[in-house]
Amino acid sequence: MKRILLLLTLLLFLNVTFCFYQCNESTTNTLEGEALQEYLLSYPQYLEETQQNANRLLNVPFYKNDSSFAGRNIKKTVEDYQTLRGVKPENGENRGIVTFLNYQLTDILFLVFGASLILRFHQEQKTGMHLLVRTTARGRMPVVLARIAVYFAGMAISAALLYGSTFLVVSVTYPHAELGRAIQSVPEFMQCAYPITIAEYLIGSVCLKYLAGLLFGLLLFALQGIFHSSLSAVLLLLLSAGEFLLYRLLLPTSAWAVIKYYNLFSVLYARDAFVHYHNLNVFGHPVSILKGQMISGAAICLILIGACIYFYGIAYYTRRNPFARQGERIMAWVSRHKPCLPAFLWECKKLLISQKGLVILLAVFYLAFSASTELRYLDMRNPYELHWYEDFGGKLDREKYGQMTAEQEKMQNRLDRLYISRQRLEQTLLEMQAGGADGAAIAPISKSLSDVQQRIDKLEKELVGLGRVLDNVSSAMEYMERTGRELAVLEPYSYNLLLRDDEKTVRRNQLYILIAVILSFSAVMSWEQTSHMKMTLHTLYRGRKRNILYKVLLVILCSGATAVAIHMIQFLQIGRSFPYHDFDYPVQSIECMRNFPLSISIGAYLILLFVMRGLGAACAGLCVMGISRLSKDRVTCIILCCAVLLFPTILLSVI
Amino acid sequence: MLEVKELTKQYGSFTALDHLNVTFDKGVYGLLGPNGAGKSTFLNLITDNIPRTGGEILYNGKDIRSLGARYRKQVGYTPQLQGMYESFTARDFLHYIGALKGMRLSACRKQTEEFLEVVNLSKDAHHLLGSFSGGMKQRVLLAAAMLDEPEILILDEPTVGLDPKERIHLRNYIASIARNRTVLLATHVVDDIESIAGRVLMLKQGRMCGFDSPAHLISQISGHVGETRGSYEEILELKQQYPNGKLMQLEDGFCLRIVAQELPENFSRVDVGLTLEDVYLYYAVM
Repeated sequence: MKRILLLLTLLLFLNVTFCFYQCNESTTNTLEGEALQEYLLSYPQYLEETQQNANRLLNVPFYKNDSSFAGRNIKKTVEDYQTLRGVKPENGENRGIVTFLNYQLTDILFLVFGASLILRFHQEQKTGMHLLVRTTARGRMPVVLARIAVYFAGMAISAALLYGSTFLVVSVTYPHAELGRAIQSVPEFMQCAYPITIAEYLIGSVCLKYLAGLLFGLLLFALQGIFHSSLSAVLLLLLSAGEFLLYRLLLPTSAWAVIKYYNLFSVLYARDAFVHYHNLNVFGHPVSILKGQMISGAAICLILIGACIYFYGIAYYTRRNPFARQGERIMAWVSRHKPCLPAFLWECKKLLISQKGLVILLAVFYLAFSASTELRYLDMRNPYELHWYEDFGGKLDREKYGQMTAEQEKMQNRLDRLYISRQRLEQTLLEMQAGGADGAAIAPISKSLSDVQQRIDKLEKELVGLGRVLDNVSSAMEYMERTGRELAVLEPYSYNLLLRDDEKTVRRNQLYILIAVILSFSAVMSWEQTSHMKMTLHTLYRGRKRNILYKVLLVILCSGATAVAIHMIQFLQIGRSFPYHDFDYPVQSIECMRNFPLSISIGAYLILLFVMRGLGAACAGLCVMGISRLSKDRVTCIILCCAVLLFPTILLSVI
Repeated sequence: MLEVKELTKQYGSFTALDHLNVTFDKGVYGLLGPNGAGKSTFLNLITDNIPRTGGEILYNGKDIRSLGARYRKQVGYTPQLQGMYESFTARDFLHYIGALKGMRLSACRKQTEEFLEVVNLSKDAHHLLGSFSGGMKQRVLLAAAMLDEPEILILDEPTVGLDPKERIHLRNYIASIARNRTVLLATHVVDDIESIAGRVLMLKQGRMCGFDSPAHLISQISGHVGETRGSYEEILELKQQYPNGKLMQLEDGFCLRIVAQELPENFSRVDVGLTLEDVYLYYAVM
């Protein structure tokens, strides 16, 4: 119980922390401002067009047939969209809802909690207690039923806490979301065919996620009842991986779309049921995704409960794995022919395979990757400014600076002349209006005035752009004169985002790295303790310093590589939106890097930055290793690392 | 040759080992003593797992501390606690130990198969250690200790959990390999020591109380072992006076065998069929 509560607290903490970092001002996840207004205005038209299309198709002979799926589907579409007639989308804060919709970490943590709860039920199998329990009067059926009830309650509590905490964070970060608005107010839900409010959607989606959590845990529970071994966990992982691939790879229009949507991950993400309008062909009848998921999910849930009752309460005995004989032969052959590894590679195997380090590192990398790709960077670039960077890009010197100031002066003169022309035209127009001139006479003057105004607007924007570039260049000139270093003029947006503006992503990535390092390396030393191998290792030729050295090297390499890989996601994502230029120019050419003391190029600085990030992660890895040396087991080490490394890091980053 | 001179180990004010002097040459040496006698401390000291308070441990005339890894290269150790990675297969575990013993990969591979055969685990070598019984684990540890054919083999309870057939097989093997190496065998299974040990080191409360061949040790307790027969109730009453006495059921009643400095009047002296177990009890009780 204590461990489960501790785990839930840890998961809750991670969820809140990463959700906080996911609400990033540098990025966007939905339509805003004018684009949102446009969407709201176009929504009634979208409804109208959908209705018209459906009605038009109903007149086509192919769709008239009531007994075909196509005909039934069109009729259902008409009926579904008729229920939306009174729906009025309203303007409001949507970023929080969309973050809630896209934020997948909570779902993963929810499943992790479910799996942990089920695995806790099986602790007694390891200690042999299950035999004692099963010999008692109420040790069979009542125990199974009680465990299922505990699982249902545990998942309900964890769903409320995890999804509630996510909602709380997004509500605080993006306040005034007005949950009474129709869900169609959020552009992502344009296709949603249910006349529900945002609040109702939130409740509905959490219920679906709860159903997915139940299915996942009950499946594991039933598999454990069949195999009583780690094979059940392996099978569950394989099944989940298969389900995930089917969910991601199958097209919605595919004949196998039923598998895509009646899928654990589709239910867990609770996205397709609300975001897409799609009726699935179930024995020739169109069934909405939500209805299908609820019915099939509940049915499978009941089947799994029956299976659990049967395998634990009625037919409990250790079955021989059906693939055992073939598997055994293969394993024996592989074992005989496996090469003998040197000590360093054995340490690799221990850390990455036996202690599940590789799985943890890959899982955290995937989480960091998916968290990054859920969002896209806002394009804050000013096109008039970009234009000047293109024109004057390259090595900076006094001559170029002179050209730029001359250009500014020239433009300012042109603008002044345009102001005068505008004033004259306005004067003329006023005089003509006062003189009672007719519209035909006024029209050419009005047109000229409008042309002049347009030129003024454009020129003003260009001048503002040039002014900004010149501000940057002036400070660069001043720096060049002060230090004697050479600088260049370059477009700074991507570098500013990478090195200054998107600090939130950097911090979030640092937390991911820290968590990966803590979870992966927490057993690096304590494993010897829990396996009682410490004494034996100490009596071996390479069991002392050399063994520790190998572990240190591994921790440094793995931590560094993980850090570089995770930070690289942000680097590549920014580069994809705003390509990097001019890696060869001095790093001080970027305004926010003026005070950097070394005379190196931007490329060299970026390499140095990533190396330092890698080294930072390596230091964290070594700290975890040190704590692991002092801990009696992995869990203790994780708790200590959270107290010593993770929480202070989070506190520091918040402060 | 392993020489132990004035070896002392103290934990605070408690003396676990008190000025021990003993020399081990080639052959099997048994280490006997009741719980808390200092056997494990002694083994931890000669495997250089814990620091000593005083004295010397010399291997071929050099202190094992100064020899460091060169000494450890010559040591094979089976710990009492079955330490092993349960997610490794038996073969993987032996390969791993071989790698840490600094063996060449080909030699490690060859010897692994050889010792798996010796401990009768070739057919199960691809199974995870977590699925092994206590006896199987013990055999894996024995094979691991024998890898690289060390000069000194230190075996702490090596036959625990083995069935009689396996136990006899393994102790015969240990006896056969002990001709050109030092084997130190610490166990409570007195029968094992009696069968193969050339000399037995008796420890009690951190001090050496005997170091001789089993036959000589047995002869030393002649006159201190006695037996009496009677009904169950009579024997049970006597047993309360001699809690370390050995109760045996006979065809026509019960018998109580005791080891004592002075035998009581109602006990008849036993001079035939004395065993090392009687010696063990003698030193444990006295």
